[in-house]
Amino acid sequence: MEDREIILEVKDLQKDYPVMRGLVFQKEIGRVKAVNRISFDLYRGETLGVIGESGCGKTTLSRVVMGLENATGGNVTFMGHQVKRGMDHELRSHIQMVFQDPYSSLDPRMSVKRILEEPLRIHSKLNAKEKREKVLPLLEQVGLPEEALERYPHEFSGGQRQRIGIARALILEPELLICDEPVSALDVSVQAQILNLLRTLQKNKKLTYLFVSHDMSVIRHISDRILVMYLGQMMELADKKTLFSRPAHPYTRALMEAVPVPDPRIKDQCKVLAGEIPSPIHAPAGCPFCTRCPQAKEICCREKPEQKEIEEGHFVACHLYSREETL
Amino acid sequence: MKRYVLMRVLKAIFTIWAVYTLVFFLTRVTGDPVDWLTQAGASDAAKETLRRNLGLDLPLWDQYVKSFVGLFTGDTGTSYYYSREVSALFAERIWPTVTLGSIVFVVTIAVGLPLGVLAAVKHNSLLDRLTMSLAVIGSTLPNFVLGILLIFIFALTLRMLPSGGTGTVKNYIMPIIALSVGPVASVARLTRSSLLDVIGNDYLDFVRSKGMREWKVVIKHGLRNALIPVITILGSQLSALIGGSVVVETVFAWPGIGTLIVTSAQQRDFPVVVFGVLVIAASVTFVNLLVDLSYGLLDPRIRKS
Amino acid sequence: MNTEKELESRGAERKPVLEVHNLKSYYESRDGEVPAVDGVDLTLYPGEIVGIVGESGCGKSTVVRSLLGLMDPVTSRREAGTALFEDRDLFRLSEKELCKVRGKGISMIFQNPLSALDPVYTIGSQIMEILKIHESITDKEARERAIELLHQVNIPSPELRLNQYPHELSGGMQQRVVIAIALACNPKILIADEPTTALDVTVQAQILALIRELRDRLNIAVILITHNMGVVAAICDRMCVMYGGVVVEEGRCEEIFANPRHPYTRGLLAAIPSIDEDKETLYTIPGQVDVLKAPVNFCRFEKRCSHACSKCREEEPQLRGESDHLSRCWVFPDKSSEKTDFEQAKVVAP
Repeated sequence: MEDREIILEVKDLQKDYPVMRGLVFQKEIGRVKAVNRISFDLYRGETLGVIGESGCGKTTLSRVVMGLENATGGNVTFMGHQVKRGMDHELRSHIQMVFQDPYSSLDPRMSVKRILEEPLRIHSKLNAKEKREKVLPLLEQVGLPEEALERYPHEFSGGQRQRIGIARALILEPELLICDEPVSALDVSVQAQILNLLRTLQKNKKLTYLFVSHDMSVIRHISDRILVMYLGQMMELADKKTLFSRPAHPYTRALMEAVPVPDPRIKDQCKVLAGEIPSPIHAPAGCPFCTRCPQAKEICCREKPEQKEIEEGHFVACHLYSREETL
Repeated sequence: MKRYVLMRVLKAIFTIWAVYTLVFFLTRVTGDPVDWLTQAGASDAAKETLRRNLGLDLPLWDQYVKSFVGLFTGDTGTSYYYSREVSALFAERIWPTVTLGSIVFVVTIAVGLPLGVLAAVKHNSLLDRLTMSLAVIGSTLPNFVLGILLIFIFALTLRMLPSGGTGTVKNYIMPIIALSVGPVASVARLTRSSLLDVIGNDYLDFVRSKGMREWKVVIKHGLRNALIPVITILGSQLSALIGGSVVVETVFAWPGIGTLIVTSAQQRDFPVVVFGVLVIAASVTFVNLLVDLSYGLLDPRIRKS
Repeated sequence: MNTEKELESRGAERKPVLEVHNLKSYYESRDGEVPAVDGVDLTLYPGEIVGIVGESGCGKSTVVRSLLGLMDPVTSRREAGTALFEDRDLFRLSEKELCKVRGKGISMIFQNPLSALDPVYTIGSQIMEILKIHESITDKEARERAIELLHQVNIPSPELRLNQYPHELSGGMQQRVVIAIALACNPKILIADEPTTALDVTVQAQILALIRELRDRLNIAVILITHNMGVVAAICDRMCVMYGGVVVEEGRCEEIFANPRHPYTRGLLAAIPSIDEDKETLYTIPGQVDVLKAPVNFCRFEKRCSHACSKCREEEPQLRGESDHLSRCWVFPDKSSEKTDFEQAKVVAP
């Protein structure tokens, strides 16, 4: 793993949002740490899955990595350059995003042709014929017919729209594709088509994915490594095999056990994790998971656990593994 | 919330003061009232005496301070033309206006809301299309045009109703129609569209699935949620009503403050005009304040933020 | 949890609580009538959870909304069918009579709990409302019952919740409140329309456990509508798979998950990425859902089916098979066809 090229480096990334009170003269009454000291490297050609429930900061993370928002602290470095708002156009074109909602992320007044050519118009000076030469093969790769070019988004089904969204993201030949819940609005059979498509494209184009989802089985299917987030913090980071065979963090285990498996022979299958995700405004002082953790100790509510590498490439932030205690 | 109310009240007071000041100085630009009050060949000395009596010889700034301070001591000035205390003049004229306004307001709610609800519940029916076409016409027709039209038809041609004045019930009919058609139309249209937005919501289906009768579902859960935009438009309609009554009163020779302000403006009767504008500005601001504060009562999500 | 035996013993005293027969619900579109639901039979026994599974547009929501008369009367109409509930046909009831069934006999919960609760009324008044619709009850009694109900769905400190507004609760708590309201008048049937789709996984597990617990305790029958095969497997006893407005496969869950017959069911199961094993490529069902026009006289899945034969194009198959496992397919109708070489055709290039 060491000899692979790091394409994206996220270091101690922090993103706060102020909490305001008052209608006329607003006053800041606190800060929500949407993303709290997240670090990871992304290697060229791999897929890093980011999983977590609502409010875990996965969407904020993807927006900061995309350069749509500036970080409050820490660094995002993409191919040696810092990612921030208003960064270099050329660099920006190498990071693209596929959105969750294929209905609202495409301008309904633009034909597919315009949707796909728009990025080219902004980032290059190609003439009409050259543009068409770029668009056509891509259209075929995402599985859309040539006739699609003259049509408008509302004429397509959800799955086809997501294909258009993917084609739009790929038209500038990016290195890194950020997929923010790209299949969660789709039906199961269509979801499978899109997941397969993303895999094929990755193989053919040597793409790197940062894949954000709340669905454990989708994450397992698509990812090489997985980052588990909870209330803005990293709970666990490991490659897929390790994570699923030896999940270390109690939250990771709870998350896996909560997913209902399509096999009725396993009755009583979803183990119920009590409690709810605390509001990020009132996040616990210690480990964010301490309010629900079945193995919580006194120290967990008091002190934030440090990130620890318990085996090669397997990081956990949990007091069960800190200091003298090991696996 | 308390803080919010306080801020709103302060803002309202500032608005009223600004309007007052603006109108005070603007009226002075329109010309010399002494020319209007004296006869065409009057001597310069006579004019000078009159000017001194009216307090118009003082520097403009002094006049402003005097009249502004007067507002707080209960001295609203004396009308040039009627030679009477301005506040007394208004006290006499305000009731016809308030009566007319209140009736129109009640009519707006009593007719506009039910029409809107009916159109929404029976949306796409003949009833809906009919009401909405009428509403479009109603809200585009200016009230004074409608007033003149009504006079032409019912007073001049059919001779069914008196063209102006006050006293009998018959005198009320045309001014009420002229003033309420616009607001009724806007309220009906907005109630309909706002209710239609709400009707698509899951919570209405949930209430239906609880076993509540349809009409009750629409009134208790639909209308209450649809009311916020309606209240907003109601507020602005009321403001427009207060302003519009100035013109419509003149059309129907209605002895209210509207007519008073218009004639006083023609006669350069500054104290009356300035005070009249003050009264109108204050009522409009007050209505808007009420509207803003009522959101909180209607929607707990606003109240708690 | 129910063992086989418990299910059997429940079967002994079986009299269906709901029998839907030949339900057809059509809606108007620009190109004619669309059969959203086209002849659905559904039998529900007390204390059982039946799952209706399918993708968007398969008609699963229309089935249950038709039962309660919640369809938009302007755009859609019920074409045919009977629904026997407590010896009366729901479809022949007047609006007034139907209102007495809603909430008291059959209740419904919705996908998004926040949008199912009226934002401008307190939790307490929304619970008390249903009690007052169906029972003559004083405010004080209603309040006590409301507290008891919130307690029953495991909401902590219910007295405080009564005065809160929906937006002040978390998604999981909101869904618990919705369930409490639905159960307030002890209905015989609970219809749950995608009750966990809008919730987080850990909260989904809590709500599913709650539904199962309430079923065990109150012996209520549940119709659970979902697109998630995992959810069906987790809590349903029987299931119906819907496609194009009809049930294409139905039976006991263990049966169907172990030996799916209809190519659509098989495809659906194969298309789910697994949490337990790694698949290189997911099976995909080719093509997409067609908008049908009534009447239909061919297999609705024929265009997307890799096993379709000429018969599938000429005549619509009927549900056939054994009593605990039926399939609407010419090629895989019954037990004998279960192991036919579907596996070989499993992976189709995307």
